[in-house]
Amino acid sequence: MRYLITLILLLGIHASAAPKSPSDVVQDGTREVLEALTDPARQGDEHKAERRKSVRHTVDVYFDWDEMAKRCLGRHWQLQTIEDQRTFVDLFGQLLEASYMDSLDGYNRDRTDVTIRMIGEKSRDDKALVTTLVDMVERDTQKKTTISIDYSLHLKGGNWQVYDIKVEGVRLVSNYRDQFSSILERRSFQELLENIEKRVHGLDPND
Amino acid sequence: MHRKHVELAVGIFGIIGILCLAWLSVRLGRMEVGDKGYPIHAEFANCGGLRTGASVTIAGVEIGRVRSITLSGHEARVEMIITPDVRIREDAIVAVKTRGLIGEKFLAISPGGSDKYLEPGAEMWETQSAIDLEDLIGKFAFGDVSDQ
Repeated sequence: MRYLITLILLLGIHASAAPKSPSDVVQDGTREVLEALTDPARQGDEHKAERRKSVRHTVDVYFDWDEMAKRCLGRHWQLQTIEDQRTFVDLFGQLLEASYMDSLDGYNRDRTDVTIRMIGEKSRDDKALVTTLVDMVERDTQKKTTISIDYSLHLKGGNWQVYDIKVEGVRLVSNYRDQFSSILERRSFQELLENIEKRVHGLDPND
Repeated sequence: MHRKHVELAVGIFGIIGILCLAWLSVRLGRMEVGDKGYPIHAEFANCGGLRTGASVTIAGVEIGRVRSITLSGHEARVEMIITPDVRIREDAIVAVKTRGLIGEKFLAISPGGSDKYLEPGAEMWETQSAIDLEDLIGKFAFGDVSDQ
């Protein structure tokens, strides 16, 4: 009997230590972000900063910002010093936050119900692709919009983390890689960092 | 009699012209890299009319050709032959692009920053399918059916 209990306990520990599947990560991540966004305790403009912080905190768990920033910089990544790389990762995270937080907040304000449908998952070694369809229904008009979002994940430290998103067939990393690379053909890396910083402050009037 | 000679000459000239055209189309359509390169493959949700022999480019420079396109599950599996002196990083993105607005389809590789390189026969994991212009125009012009 004692052995049986030990075995069950060990199995239990093993099960909890096993990483969540890529699809579960995407599903849980979406749910947690939506919960953070619609938390009744943090509604209204007066709680905006708090709400954003909570969303960012959730996203940080599921997104691998280092990998995403590295991929966005492409071949220019290795040419930079470690400090510059670190500054870039930080600024890049802020840029995405400033660009998309308003849209996220907008959906919340416009009383839109967001549901995610898992369509498929394929994986190879330490990489996975999760395809989803996101339905957005405006509560007042019942207007429904469906967009396809694919998440690219990789295994890092035993957990699946997102490093790229494809919205309606367009890759986030690819889009930024083209932009950064065309800027870096004409300007220095420091100028790119300044540009991003200006853009972050321009997008977020609270700053 | 003279007239017959002229007709014959025109006929021969015409045949030579047709042969030249045939040679040109075979030459242009064929893989010039041949088997000298190494193969890599990628899977696309939609390769949007990409053809065998289409060019594979980095920064607009041709570095390979499409060797075969087959259906794998519900996806298009595209096999490419890349020239031996070009190495592709593991996080490079391969996208189906169109020359001009309605031109031919080709593959454009955007180089990555990873320190790992793709081995011959490896799969390029990061792909971007052809953007369906008709689909986009349809959505824009007529709205989503699910709007109602």
